Amino acid sequence: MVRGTAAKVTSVLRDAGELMAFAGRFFQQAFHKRFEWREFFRQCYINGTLTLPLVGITAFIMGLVLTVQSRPTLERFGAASMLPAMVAISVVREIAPVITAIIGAGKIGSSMGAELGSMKVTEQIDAMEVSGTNPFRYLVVTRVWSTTLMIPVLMVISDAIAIWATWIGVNIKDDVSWGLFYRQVFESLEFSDFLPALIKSYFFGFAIGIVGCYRGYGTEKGTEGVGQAAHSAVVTASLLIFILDLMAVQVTDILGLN
Amino acid sequence: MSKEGNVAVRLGLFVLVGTVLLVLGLYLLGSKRGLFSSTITVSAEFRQVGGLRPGNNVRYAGINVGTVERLSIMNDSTVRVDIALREDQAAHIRSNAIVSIGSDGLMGNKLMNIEPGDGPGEPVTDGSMLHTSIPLDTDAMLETLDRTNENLAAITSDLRQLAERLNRPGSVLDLFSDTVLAAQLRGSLSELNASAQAAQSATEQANALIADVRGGKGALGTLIGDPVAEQQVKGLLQQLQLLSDSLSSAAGEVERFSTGLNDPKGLAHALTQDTIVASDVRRSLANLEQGSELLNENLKALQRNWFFRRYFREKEKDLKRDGSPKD
Repeated sequence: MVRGTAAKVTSVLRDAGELMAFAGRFFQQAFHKRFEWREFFRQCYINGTLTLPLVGITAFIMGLVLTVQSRPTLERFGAASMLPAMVAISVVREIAPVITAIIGAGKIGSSMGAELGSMKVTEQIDAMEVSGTNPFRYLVVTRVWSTTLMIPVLMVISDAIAIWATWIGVNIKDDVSWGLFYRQVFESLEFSDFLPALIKSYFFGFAIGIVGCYRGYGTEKGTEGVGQAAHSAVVTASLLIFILDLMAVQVTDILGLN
Repeated sequence: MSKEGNVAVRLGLFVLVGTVLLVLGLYLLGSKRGLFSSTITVSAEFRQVGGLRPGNNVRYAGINVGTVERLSIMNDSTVRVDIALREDQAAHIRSNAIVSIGSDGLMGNKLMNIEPGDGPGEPVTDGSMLHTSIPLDTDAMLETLDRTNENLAAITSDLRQLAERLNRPGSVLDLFSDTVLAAQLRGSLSELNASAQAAQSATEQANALIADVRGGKGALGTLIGDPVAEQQVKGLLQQLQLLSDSLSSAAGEVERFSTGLNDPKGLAHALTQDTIVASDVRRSLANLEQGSELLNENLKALQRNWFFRRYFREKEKDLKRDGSPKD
């Protein structure tokens, strides 16, 4: 049993080390002058625009549910008028970035793992190398850049959608105008609520892209490996998102932004 | 439009929406902190700031006009608060305004309130120092509330004891169920009512009398209201004053006379107080009386004298004729 646990720990550490090396290779290629713009925009469209409906619906539901569920507690303390401010701070600080990243990890990470995995097992990547195209720069760099830049955009839009859903949630029992609502929301929000969330969403996007590509790029064992790559891309990316979130909250706390 | 073009438009729209929302959010957050409007900095000094932080709102007449910019400890009893006021709003705030520290509701954030001061003043400028009032101390409030609670408990206890005493048989409350006492009380109230009516009538009459006097009716009214009568009264008072002065002078004379009487060297004192002189005078009077009797006899003898008989006969005749003697 001890040997099995040690083997697992060794495997995890080796995995982490290979991921770091993969990320290092990305940074080596990321700022190369021959950038695959066409593929980059295509990936932005797939990872951003096509992910928006899923993220938007999730943000809407989260804003609405959080509002409805927070109301009884706040009413118990006689602070129902603070509902917009409380939900807005929760959404902007934590819910929108994490939910967007988790949805992104599920949709984008799995598709990247599966797509690159199938290309790997069908030797398309090898063929690209033979044809003189740098597969890493074409497949990995474009994808990682697209997720790094699109997740923050998705997060900002999901912030807006969740706040709008909060307004709807508040108006289920109250009658609050949009003007009063958005003033209450922005009266309570500070730069220290929004900027750390925005910054960490870039890290979330990078984690989703790099993990998805790493898992797909390292796929082995045929079609079985493709499924495993997709699955492990989602799990690893999700776990990494929460670890990054924990680190982000510690950093913002040290910087006095909480 | 080709498929690639369609993709580009959708992607562009997506990024545009995200960027617009991001810029809008940053603008709204920044405008709240006054980042996009010019500000001036004014200061205020407090003994303690009760948890105030940079970024807290500053309100004038209930409107947000700025934010707390910086807090710095000047010495062991002074904390300096620098306030960034929006320049357009600062024109309405005078240099004699008073700053206090409050909170936005019971559970809200700390904030600063600027209240107008008394009298006129110049508008605040960059670097102005504002007057302050002592902020509400929650601990002191709780301490006062604790004392109030103790007082309330003592009052409640007293009330409970009072209620118990009232509920005992034979207490004052029995009076309320006594029908005889109620009838007596009703009669007393009726008499009291009649007395009150009589008193009211008397008061009305007194009021009418006062009104008449004020209107110059009657002797008293004339005396009070007529200027001629007033002059006469004044003259009378002046004469009384003169009379009083004369009396005072006479009293002085009498006093001096009395003093003279008491003077042992004076004639009056000798006459009234000296017993030897008095006996001398008495003897002299006796001698005078004796002399008078002798003189009377001499006169009777003179009437019978032939030399003066004729004169006395003429005198008797004149007396009989006129009823009075002729000189």
